[in-house]
Amino acid sequence: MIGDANGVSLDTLSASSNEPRFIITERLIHWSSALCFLVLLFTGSLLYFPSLAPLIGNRALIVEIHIYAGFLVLLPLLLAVIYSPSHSELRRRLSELASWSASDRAWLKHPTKASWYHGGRFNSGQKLNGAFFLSSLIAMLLSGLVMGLYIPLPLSDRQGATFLHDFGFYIMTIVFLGHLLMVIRHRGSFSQMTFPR
Amino acid sequence: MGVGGDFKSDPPEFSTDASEGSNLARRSVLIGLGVAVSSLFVGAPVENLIRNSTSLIGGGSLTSFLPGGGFRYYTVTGGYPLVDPSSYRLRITGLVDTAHSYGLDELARLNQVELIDDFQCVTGWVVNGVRWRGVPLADLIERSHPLAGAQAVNFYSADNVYSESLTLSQVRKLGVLVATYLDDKPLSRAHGGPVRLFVPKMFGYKSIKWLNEVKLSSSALVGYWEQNGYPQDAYISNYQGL
Repeated sequence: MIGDANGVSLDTLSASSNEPRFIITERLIHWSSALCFLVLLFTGSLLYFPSLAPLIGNRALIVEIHIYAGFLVLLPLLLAVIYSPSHSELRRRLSELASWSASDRAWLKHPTKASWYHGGRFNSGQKLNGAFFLSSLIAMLLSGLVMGLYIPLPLSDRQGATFLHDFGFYIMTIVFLGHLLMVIRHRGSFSQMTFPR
Repeated sequence: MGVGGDFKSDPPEFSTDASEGSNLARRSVLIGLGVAVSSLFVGAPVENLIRNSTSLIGGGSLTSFLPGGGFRYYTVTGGYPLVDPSSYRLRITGLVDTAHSYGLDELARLNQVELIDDFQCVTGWVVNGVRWRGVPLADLIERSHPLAGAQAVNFYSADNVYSESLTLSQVRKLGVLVATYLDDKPLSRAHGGPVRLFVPKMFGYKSIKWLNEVKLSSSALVGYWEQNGYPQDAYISNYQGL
């Protein structure tokens, strides 16, 4: 399992450097986006599954909440990228998550244990998790715009966007469940992301 | 050490300079954009392929779990209204010589028409070849003898919120159906039963569910989704050839 070789746990990695694994702005970005994501998942399920639709009904209201949450979900990250000074701690940490090199590719071929991190905070799988959510949220936002804002595109385009939105719903739900599974496996990560001691 | 041993001898320094490796964030943004744009072109063919292949292997329950499977049931109020079939009356009111109302058994005795058409939602999903059966709305209107000033036909749902409208000439031209059967089964509650409208050639939001009043008027009301920005003229063909 990732992250507990040689007694070095993923959860305590940053202890050596005496800095928190996630600083407060990172945690705020994570949890505000996560809140929007959960709202999207919940309202999206109500809109999509026939068996759930009548539970709350009020389709127009649910659609509106879904659209607002969709606009908001990437906003914290966007604001952070726009407004953080280029040499700030937050920017340094974000670019760590976004860095990808030959050693990341090698890690994917042979997922190894904690010795890989070399002071970094993320293994390549975690970076890909972040990349997946960024990509798919953008794809969902755009396909959602085509569906929800009545953009007068040809009907086959609208059908294609709807299909992507449905498909993305399934894929994102699966990856999200994987994310939750990892949280359960690494309880320490959860406290690092919430209220680190 | 087996895996990852090569890092031991030459540990890669973590770099804050994204230019050293590639930038995962930039790549993710491009992938997201690319997937969204390409879905406009390949999404519909892929969905049709899935639908056709699942219907070949039996489909049924499987298709309802796949993207693009069948009807989606919409309601704009808190749940589906419950309409008692035994006391149900469809009222034809407004600018008519004689207002009429019809129970389900009376509707069933009138001339029944069957038509097979795709049900196309404005948001993009479609159900091909739906078999509708019911009474032509134009027949019901003629039986009440519309007055000269009647230009529009307004529809009201038993949910007391949803409303729709067409022009009288659209009703006559399009063969609008007061539907009581879908795919040879009485309309279910989720489908808008016992009585809904089906408007051929127009997006699904025109086909009002739980229909209980048809009111002829001098002007068309602004329906529920029209108030939310959808066009009054909901011809699907307006959006096919752009």
